[in-house]
Amino acid sequence: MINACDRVDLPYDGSSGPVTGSGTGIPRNVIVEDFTGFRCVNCPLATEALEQLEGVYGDQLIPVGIHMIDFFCEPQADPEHPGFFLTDFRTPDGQAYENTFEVFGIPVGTVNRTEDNGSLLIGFGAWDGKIGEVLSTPADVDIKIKQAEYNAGSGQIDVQIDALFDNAVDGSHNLTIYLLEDSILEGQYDGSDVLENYLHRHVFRGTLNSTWGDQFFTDASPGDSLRYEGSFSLPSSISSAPSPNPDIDISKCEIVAYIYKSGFDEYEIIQAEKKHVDM
Amino acid sequence: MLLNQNQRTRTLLLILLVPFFIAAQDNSGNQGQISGSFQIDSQYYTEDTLTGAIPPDEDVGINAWGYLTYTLKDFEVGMRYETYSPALLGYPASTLISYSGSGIGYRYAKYKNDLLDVTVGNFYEQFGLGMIFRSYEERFLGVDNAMDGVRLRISPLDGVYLKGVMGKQRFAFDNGFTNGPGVVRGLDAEFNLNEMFSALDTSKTRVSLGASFVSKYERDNSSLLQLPENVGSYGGRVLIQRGRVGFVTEYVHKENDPNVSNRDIYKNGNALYSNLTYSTKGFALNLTGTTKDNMFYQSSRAVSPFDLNINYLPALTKQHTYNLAATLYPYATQPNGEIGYSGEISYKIKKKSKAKSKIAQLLGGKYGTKITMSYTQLNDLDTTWIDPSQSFDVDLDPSRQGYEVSLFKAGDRVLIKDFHAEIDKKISKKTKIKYTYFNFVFDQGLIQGGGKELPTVFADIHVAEIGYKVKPKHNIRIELQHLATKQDSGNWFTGLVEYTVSPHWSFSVMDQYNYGNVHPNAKLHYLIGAIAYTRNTSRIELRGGRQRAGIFCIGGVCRTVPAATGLTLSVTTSF
Amino acid sequence: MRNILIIAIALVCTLNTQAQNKTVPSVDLKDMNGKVINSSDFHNDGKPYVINFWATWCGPCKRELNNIAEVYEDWQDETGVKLYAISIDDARRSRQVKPYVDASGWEYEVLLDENSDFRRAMNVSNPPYTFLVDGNGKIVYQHISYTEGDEDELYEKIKALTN
Repeated sequence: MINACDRVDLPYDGSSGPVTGSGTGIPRNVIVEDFTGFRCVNCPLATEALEQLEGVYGDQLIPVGIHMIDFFCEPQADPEHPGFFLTDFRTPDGQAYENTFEVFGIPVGTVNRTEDNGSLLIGFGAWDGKIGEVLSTPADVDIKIKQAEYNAGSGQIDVQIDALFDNAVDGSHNLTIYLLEDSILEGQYDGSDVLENYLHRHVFRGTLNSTWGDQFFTDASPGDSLRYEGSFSLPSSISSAPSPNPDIDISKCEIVAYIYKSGFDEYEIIQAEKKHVDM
Repeated sequence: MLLNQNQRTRTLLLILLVPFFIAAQDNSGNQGQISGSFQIDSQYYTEDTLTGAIPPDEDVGINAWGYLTYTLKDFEVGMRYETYSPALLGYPASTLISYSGSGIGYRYAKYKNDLLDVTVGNFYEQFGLGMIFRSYEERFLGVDNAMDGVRLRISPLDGVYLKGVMGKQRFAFDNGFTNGPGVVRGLDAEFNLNEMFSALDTSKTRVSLGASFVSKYERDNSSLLQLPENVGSYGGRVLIQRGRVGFVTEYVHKENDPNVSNRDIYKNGNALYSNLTYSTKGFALNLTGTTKDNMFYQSSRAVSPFDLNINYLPALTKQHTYNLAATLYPYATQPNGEIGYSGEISYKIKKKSKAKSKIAQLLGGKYGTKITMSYTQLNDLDTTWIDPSQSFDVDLDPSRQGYEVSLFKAGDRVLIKDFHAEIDKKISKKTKIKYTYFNFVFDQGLIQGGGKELPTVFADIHVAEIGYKVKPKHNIRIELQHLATKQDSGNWFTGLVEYTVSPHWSFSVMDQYNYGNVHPNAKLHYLIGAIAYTRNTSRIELRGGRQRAGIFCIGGVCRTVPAATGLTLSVTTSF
Repeated sequence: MRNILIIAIALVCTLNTQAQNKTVPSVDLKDMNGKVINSSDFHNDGKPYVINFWATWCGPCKRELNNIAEVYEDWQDETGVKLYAISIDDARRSRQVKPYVDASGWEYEVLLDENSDFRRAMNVSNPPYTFLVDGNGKIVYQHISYTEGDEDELYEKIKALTN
């Protein structure tokens, strides 16, 4: 009880938390899925927190903004803000995640889809600590995205990904590829304000190879090398389904590839990589 | 996972068998007592294109609880087994956590004698009015922050009651309860002066004083900020009762506690609550005032406002029971800042009143009449932001204090005005009537906004209730409710008819009709029918119909409770 | 589901082996003046008494106790029964209990169970919940919820004990 009150004096900045860094071995990357919506007043808080963390963790942190819950992101004309809140950021894949992870309220997110106190959904205040925890160990596998190129002729993205194993990885694993569009200007509710030209970063536009990805391997050994390649059509939004989403500006797009353990009710991501789409 | 499940089942069986062993070993003839209760709520969902209700994949939801205690003299053990397979839609209250699977949700052992009372395992406890510490279960709301640790209650001297608690708080449920990351420690002392000093024993004035200290520990794992790992809070209270007059006040102060709900500011928190009552036979007056600033106090910095609350700050507004008054615009406490007062007056006009006034004579009648009126108003606090843009940018507010505020100065923003008046009268041996009027001014943007800046709702509600005894044991009760507002979803009408046959049967039909909605396809009837059968300690209820979608909010953070259409079966029993 | 079955079977076995007629457990309550009263001290000079769990926020509870209040005087004259009305309002709301009781003119022994300790010890899931205790301190009847007219059945049970 003697230490029951800590008064922190100025300055408050600076960490006394764990030092991150992977030491030797393959550096790990971490995906933070920020479940958000443009009509959610508290969501910019989470997004700002994520941007601050990008400053700390650099490229090892891969942010993904997934818009979900109709109440917060259904496109709806707003007479006071003509021309805004009309983009449909919802995707069939995002809705599948919303249902599977039982997301009833936002902002909330996942950190490499690891659990925190028994829950995959982690409040944004806990992302920092969780990212530090995830990054404190090296990864077993390295992902290299050799190719991510948009073919204007076929309208498809050609992808080639290599995975190189340092250590054994047991169990069945899938590989999923996200298509993100960075820096979209759209409306956003923020506290009691309504912002018209809010910069939406790293917006999830859907998966290239289905909601839960493709089965990639079962039991890998040290030294193994695996390749995944294919050509994929652009995903659709809820409104544009099933045809490709016409709103996607391919020049702003990036792909995120990640490997996750795909057993029953298992989602944990073991490694991820990001690359801008070439044209 | 399967092994885990088996292990749990085995543990459970062992616990269940413990009482038999004890009973067998006790030769004094004192066998101890077992008691328990069950509650099973199950829902079957169907799709409803009109409300947009979508059934979950399983089409059903089941919540079940079995509670069992065994008492032998001064010793007691108990446990609660819970099942969510899957949990009912909209359960639990939190946005972040899920309840799934089956397992033990609560278990404890307790020993008690004249001097002390020690509990290990789970327990519920409250210090004073709860403004500093309360662990409790509110099953219907999906709230359970049971402590898991140790509690000691000691009464070393007459009139002196000491309590010490330590443990973690229940958080989620995954084939058994899981605890949050933080540790909560607390001490409370209550001094009942009349019991302490024999000279005061017979005094008409009863006085109790209390003091509490609570501290939480959570590791600092931030890469951005230097966070206090231990956050303390302390409080004091005074309770006085002298005949007709009662007074209670409690003040709580909280040390710097940057957390997600206050946007990581290092400001201290404060709260004050005072209540004065005057009551005599047939008359009661109740006045309350409260103010609070920066009072979210949770055993994790990063969870939603629904979870891991250490303190308890219930809404000051009266808890209404009529459908339209209770469910559409309920106020939710704003722990980050609110100030307000509430007053209630009740008067029972005696039967066969001899008052000179004709009106009083008429109201008194053969059976008397009860009149109640209440008014509550809450505003935000007058707040000056250090960084007027409220961007919480360190460069613009290097102190990280957020804002300056006076605890006793109200701001301009009215959060709620809640007026209600009711008149309750038995007019004959068979007939009772009750009329209630409500008037709300409700800051929907702040309380339920969930992302939208919404106009203030002004609502008028009239409710007439009639109870009539058809014949012995047969009663009918009718409620007619009307809500008028130009905002939100417009006018509503609710009608309820309930027919009961004592002691076993109850039949009811309720229709909520949103006839005033401006969207033609939202002018919906929400019709619900229910049959209940009660026998002694068991009650079975079958309910079917359409439930509205709702927004459920705490402190400006909201979750959606989806619309549901289907059947609900509830069974409760105890022994 | 299987687990529920196991519990159910275990409980049924338990029920059969345990003696019936439980007594009232010992829990500290407070009266409306803040004085501590232990539930094991409940008594009515060898006559039966009723324990009723209620709350100021519970509509059916208030209907039940208001209805009994109208006939309570008659009940007491005829049988000498006594009613303990246990409010499960939390420490904050329990401040409204005395004003409500006074304004309603109730003559019951009203006690506060602010932390719901007595409620859990008696296994009361939801109020209103009624126990009838005989002159020897044994619980002889329990009833959950309230429908208009239930008080008549309770009174029949009380009369059966006093005759």
